[in-house]
Amino acid sequence: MNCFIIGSGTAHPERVVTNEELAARLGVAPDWISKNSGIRERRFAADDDTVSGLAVRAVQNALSNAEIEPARLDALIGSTLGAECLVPGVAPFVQRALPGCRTIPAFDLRAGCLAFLQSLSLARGLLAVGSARTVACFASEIQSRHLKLTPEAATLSMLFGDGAGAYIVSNERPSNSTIPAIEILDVILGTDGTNAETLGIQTSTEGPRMNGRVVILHALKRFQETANELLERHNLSPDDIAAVVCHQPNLNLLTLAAERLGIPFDRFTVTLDRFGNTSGAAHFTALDACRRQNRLKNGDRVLFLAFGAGFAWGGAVGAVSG
Amino acid sequence: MLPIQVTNFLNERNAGAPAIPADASLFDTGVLDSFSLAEFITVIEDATGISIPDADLNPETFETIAKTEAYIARALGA
Repeated sequence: MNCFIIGSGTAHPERVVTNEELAARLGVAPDWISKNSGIRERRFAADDDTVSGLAVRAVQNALSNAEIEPARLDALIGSTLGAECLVPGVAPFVQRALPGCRTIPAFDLRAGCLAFLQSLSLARGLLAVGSARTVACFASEIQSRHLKLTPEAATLSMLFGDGAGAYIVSNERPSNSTIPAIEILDVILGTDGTNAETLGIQTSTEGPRMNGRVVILHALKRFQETANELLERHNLSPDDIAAVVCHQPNLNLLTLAAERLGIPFDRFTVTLDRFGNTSGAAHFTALDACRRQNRLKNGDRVLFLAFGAGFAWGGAVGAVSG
Repeated sequence: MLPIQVTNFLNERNAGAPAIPADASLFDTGVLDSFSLAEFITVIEDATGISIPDADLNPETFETIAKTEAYIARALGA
């Protein structure tokens, strides 16, 4: 089965919100935010920013990176926690805004932080059965409008930011890409609904709720289990992993994950320091940063991991191609 | 009684502070936070050979020294 990530892109609102600005409203010190999260700043949407608008920019950037036109797309898979409508989701709004995009299937997954991997699994399946040759996947989040910026909510509200990210997958290996493609070799997903109430968003106009202590315990366990399973399935050791691209929840969590996986932390891509946790979009942002850092070389193995509401988790292994 | 490795872990995190009462919250006393709780559980698993199931992976199970001792005793069938 051929599945290559051939392009990636992001879009973030212009307004930078530093820890200094946020700390005053949350009643904490700026250093307390960076110490407890690794986040230095995040972006907050302007009044006229929309989830679909950010998504369109991210998909266009990914298409440009892949050097293909919207007309080449055979499907569009979106994810957001804050679509402008309950139905339809955000994907149809993106489809109509892409010049030349055909009347292709365009639909949403309600995936939260698993958007990257659940979309990838689905897109890979579409390629495998021949329903599509090129698929765009994206996530777009505007969370700042529903965050409680009060001392009581400081531990949660310090984490989140706004943004969008996208990637393009194709069943064809790119011939002359300036940024290396990543061949997806395997994707695994899991869910345990026992903790469905522990992490999530009740309604589209409320901020996130999270029992951080429980989430961290389960996230670390699932990261480790998932990584071990993928490494075993592909006869790889932690040393064989050249880059780790994770969802971006918290720097302290990623540091602990690196220790548990036995993979040096400098192989982890970190974008949350500049953008915070943009929920589903964060993993896309990390992928885009990893691909553009010029650190990947042909044959390198890339490990993808995510954990989020559900609890749901997943992982993937890719090989740099070209 | 806690295994020595578990006691050492807590003592290192509580260095310079008064001894931790058995029924005091390890979170309220600042000995543990969200991330060190994960390390604490790893130390317990390594020291006892217990594989803590998902259902017990919550902060309440390990909130105090007394609760942790009781949990380990139950898990080991003592």
